[in-house]
Amino acid sequence: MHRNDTIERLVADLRPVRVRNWRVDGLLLACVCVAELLAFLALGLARPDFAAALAVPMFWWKCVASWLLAFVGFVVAIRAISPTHSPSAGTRILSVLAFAAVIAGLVLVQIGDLRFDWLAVRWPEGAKCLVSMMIFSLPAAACLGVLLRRGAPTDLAGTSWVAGFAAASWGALVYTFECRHDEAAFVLIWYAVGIVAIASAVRVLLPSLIRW
Amino acid sequence: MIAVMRPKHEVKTPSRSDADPGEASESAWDGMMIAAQAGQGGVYRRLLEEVAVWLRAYFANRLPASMIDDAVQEMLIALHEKRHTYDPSRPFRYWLRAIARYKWIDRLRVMAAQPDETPLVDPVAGDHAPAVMSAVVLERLLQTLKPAQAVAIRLVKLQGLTVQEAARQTGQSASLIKVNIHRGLARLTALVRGAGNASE
Repeated sequence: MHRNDTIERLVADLRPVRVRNWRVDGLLLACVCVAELLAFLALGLARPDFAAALAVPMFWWKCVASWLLAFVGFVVAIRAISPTHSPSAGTRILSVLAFAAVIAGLVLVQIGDLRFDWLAVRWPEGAKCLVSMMIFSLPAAACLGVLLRRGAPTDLAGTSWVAGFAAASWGALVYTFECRHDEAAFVLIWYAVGIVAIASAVRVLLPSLIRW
Repeated sequence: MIAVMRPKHEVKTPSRSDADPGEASESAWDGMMIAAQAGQGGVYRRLLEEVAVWLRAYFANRLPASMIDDAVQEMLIALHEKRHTYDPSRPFRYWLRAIARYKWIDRLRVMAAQPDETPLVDPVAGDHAPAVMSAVVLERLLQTLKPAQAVAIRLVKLQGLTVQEAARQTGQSASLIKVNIHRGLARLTALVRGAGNASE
């Protein structure tokens, strides 16, 4: 098709558009995440010993680390929806934060004189942990997928990885309200494995869905 | 490492197409795109016509002449479909250049997936300047590759040999020639993408 025909076709197809606003995208994502958490609590899925868990340091580590990684990851992913923003710098920041979270967990084990008991790893429980984290990460992952598809990300692989990491971290945060395991070895291993596994799956699946 | 390599392996050759649009156009395009987002067809037509000229020069430095028309059309369609992602508070040229680079890298990715087809530089062109510039840019990029990959790309993509002819000439198997072309072009794509991210 001659280029002038293309231009005429595009002009004929022109309609006013609502300019994308990253604040609106962020608000939508936040609403989805909060709605999921409220629904989770309303369904009574929280651990029965929740009050006692508040006194356990590893519970707070789970919450704070997951929330921080999810928040930063969401910000990076939302910004990367614009073609003029690359997720590279944000990914580096996220990597440093993840490493710092692991180190903080190990320091907590030392300070609290907690045991790092490899027997606490418990493979069947760990598998349940992975599945639960995956399920709880789905709403955030789906919302990000829709936003990315409507947007114009120019680094599909990097953006998919960050989106998956953020969604997985949010899934881990929701799961902390259900997970009764506060053993250091279990938490540090299975939460890390879960987040990386889910992020990797999103990295593989998402690019073909958001390519434009 | 890429930041150190960038000065030696600068992809772009100086040209008016790579310079920002003239100052008069620069701010004019910002306003024209805002008007287009509001649905003003006449302004949008003029914007597309002017951008098409800039795009043609942009891709002339980066793609074979036979691909330029398709790339420009694809870019205009992408610009239309993603016009809602342009932030009116920022210069239009950043948005345009980001999308153009994305489409260019996507073209490289497609070419890497089809190592037997599409020479990187047309052997004959009415106007040799774009082909020569493309070859110069490409030669600089090829110097960053492993020798086997660079040789495979030069023979098949630049000199127009078939995979079998290149295999006979180099002693590599036909499969290895294809693998080296695929990996070499993927490496070039990653270099271009990395150079672009570092410049942001």
